[in-house]
Amino acid sequence: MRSFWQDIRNGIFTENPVFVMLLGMCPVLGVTTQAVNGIGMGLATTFVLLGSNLVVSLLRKVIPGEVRIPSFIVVIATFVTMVDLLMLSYLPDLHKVLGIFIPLIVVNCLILQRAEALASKNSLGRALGDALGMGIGFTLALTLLGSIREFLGFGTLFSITIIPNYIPFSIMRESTGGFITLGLLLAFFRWYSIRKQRGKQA
Amino acid sequence: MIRSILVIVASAAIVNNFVFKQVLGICPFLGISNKVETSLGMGAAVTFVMAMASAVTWALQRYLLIPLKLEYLQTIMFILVIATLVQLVEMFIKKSSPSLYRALGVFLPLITTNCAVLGVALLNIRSEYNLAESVFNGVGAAIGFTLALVLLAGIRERLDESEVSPVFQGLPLALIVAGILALAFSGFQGVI
Amino acid sequence: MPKSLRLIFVLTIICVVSASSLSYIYNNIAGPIIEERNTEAALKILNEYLPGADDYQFVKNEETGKTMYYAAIKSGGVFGVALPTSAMGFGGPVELMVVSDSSGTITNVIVLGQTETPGYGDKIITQPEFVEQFVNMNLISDEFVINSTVDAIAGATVTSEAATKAVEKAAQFYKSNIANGGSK
Repeated sequence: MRSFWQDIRNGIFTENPVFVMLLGMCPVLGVTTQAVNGIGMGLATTFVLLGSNLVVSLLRKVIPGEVRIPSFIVVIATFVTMVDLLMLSYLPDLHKVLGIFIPLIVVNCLILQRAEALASKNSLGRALGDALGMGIGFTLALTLLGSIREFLGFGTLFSITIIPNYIPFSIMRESTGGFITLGLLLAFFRWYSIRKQRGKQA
Repeated sequence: MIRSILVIVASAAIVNNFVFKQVLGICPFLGISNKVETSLGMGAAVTFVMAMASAVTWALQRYLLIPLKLEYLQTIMFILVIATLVQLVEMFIKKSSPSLYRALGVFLPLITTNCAVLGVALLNIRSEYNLAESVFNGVGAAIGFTLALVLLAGIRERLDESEVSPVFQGLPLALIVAGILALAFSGFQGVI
Repeated sequence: MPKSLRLIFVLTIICVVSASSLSYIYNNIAGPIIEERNTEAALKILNEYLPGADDYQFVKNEETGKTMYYAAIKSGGVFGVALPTSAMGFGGPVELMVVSDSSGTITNVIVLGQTETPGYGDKIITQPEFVEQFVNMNLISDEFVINSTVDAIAGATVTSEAATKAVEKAAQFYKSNIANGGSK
């Protein structure tokens, strides 16, 4: 029996959805021009993950296998629409910036994958722990990427000026910046794990 | 009319390329771009589904969701339409052309979660396109998606032959190459 | 219960629960908040750009329930209208409010929202000369065509075109729904 904390740690490090499992790449690259967008997208996704894992786990004995996927999609889409409506009501500015990527949370493969691989086979506690871990892992990854791109692209962090009179590295604001930053981050993590392994062998 | 349709197709395929500019459809873009041949197969399947999804979701929005004031159910309805459509297309191709099915079959289930398909359906509505414009926007987006996939696959096939540091092998390098391709595509900005 | 019936039953229940919970959220939580914010924002603009009215009329589309335009009324007559309009730009819709007097002459074009690329499309806000071009043009007699009757902002062609298209859309609406007939 795995503990709740193990699930959380698993989502943040061992099976980080972005850096290890490479799931949900569209929002990862699409909205991370600024750190705050990364947090917003990450929290919205976490909410949907929690909701869908909760319902899927509760209904795991009720939903027949044949209509599993359509049922999951409806459940996920319901929570996405909730986030969409609530964000439009309470955080209209963030809603505008995230734009089409909010409804597109529906097709974030991370959520369907967690519903299918974990929540539909496990108890409520584990499903929620996993959703929280994955959500935090996803949010941290997006925020990291957003911070790097915002810092290089605007000279700011969370809209606070870090370097005055910064000459912006403007490709960081474009999709190019997203691709290259993520590529270099993946390479960095790989370099780090190779080094660690070598250290163990030596 | 023809001019505006050409502008829509060229804009969706090149200037506002779905993968490089709008950053949609990244999962299959990174997942399937190992070989040029499979990229073309995926592209063909996506083109088919995108054009059909554009038409069906447009009609759904116009004749059901707007009159009934149920626009907030858009996301659910659209994703269900796309999932159903993918199923129907799969069944149809399986029966009518086994050879085509062998070529495209493996890609079809992946299309449901390709966010470019839902993305194009939502963008059609947000851009207030009419039926023809929506369908051609779908086709243009699919052409752009295929172009991106084939371009990256061509480069990755070549990279497989070279000696690459294990740190960059595979995805990190593919992402950096994609970034450089996106930079090249941003040269089209302002053309249309 | 036969298997196939059970499948349909479960799916139907899920869909019904989903649709009813969303409709509850939309009608009781989100809808009123969004409506109130839109009204407030519209009134702020109306008070600033069409001041001195006795009343502002929100003319709604009966079919969709959306506000099509705002009419400013003084001593029983419409003395100005404000038309919300939008067109697709680079990063999303460019939203404008076109304010005109009762003859259709534009007095102001206000940029309500844009998510254009920083450094390119956001020039629509940083270079107000662009929207000022529309002032004194007429919604009935003028055509709004980019690079012909309206000059694009250098380096922000797509955004300029979207804005111009949006104004043209407002003009078409004005001609067919407001001009001659007064407020419908």
